[in-house]
Amino acid sequence: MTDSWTDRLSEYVDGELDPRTHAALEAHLATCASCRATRDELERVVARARGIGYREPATDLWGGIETSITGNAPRSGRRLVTLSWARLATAAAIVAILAGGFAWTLASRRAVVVVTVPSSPDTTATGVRTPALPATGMAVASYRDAAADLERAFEAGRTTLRPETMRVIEENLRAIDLAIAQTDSALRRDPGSAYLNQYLAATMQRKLKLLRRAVEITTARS
Amino acid sequence: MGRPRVTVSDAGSVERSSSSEGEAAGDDASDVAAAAAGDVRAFERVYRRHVARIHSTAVRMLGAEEADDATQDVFVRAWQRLAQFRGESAFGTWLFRLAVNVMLSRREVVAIRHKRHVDDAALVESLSSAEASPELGLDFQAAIARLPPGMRQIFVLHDIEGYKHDEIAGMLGIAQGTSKSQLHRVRMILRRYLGA
Repeated sequence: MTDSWTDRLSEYVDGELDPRTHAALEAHLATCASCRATRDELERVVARARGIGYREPATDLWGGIETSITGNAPRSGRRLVTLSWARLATAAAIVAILAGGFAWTLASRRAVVVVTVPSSPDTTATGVRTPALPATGMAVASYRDAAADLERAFEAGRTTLRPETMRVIEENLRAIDLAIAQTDSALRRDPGSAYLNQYLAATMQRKLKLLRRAVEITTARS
Repeated sequence: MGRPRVTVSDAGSVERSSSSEGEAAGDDASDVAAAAAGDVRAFERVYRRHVARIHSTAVRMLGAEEADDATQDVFVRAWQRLAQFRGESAFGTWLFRLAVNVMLSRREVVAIRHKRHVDDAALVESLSSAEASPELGLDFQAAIARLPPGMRQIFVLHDIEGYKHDEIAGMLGIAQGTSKSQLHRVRMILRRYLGA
């Protein structure tokens, strides 16, 4: 059972009501058994939450952290500012590396980035587990140009596809574009996050794979 | 402002923290200074003092499957930013705030990956109707884990970590009133699980 005072009970429990409202609610509590019971339960919830402890992780995570930081001394005072384009280029580089390198890397030579991948196959700069990467430096072109090239090829051949195939491809592309936009938005707030960069790269890779597959289908049908 | 209250031993039992915050702060000060100069062993000691709180919070904020990676990410980021720690607050406070920021960034990606479009209303309804469905069998902490992400984060930050509504509003980008009303809603749900 609830009444108009029920929604104020958490504020009462937390001592956040102004004195006048606090006094009025106290007067109500004196006459309302239901609200008194709810107040008691809310107090027990708060007490229970405050008693919740902290637990060590089941596995020791230090090894991965140590691998990531060894040889990388803490940065000096000035905070690094990562520009959006730099992020994108880095992500594109990771895309190409994850993809193993494709012909599209030759399509644009305007924004070539050279990336040296750590030799350890199981960890990245954050210690987050990722698929094994080739341990060589690799030159790659920008993701945007590659995606644009593939999109143009796809558009040119789209009339060869059945409507249901088109619908599936377009729905997937929209979902991937949304994921890219949301991840990029998160990166604007947290530009140094290797995790977000990696996720962005992986999502871009998904888009390129999907586009490549779509182009292959249109080519086979033409 | 939030602060640690209790720790849990390896055996899983809940204990009041015997080391005071002042003690931990003293240990942190020398180790953080050494770590900032590149001493990895000193940073490991910092890690060991704080990992339980960071990891437990990651479990509650992001889920168990994301917690290990998030915890590693937090400490790597902390290492990279040690030079920015000016000692204006306790190191634990600085680290936890950094951790919350990292987790809040990750939650967006987690939500995308898990197709966040889980029906929050249905989730709340299923938890709210626990009295009618005792076979659900959730205990208090499991019920917390089942809360929709936004509600869970408010509850974790306020009731477990001791942050105030204005701080939470700032961190989550919501109005204070929203933080208060959501917290009340969560508590009204969780009171059904007190006996479990």
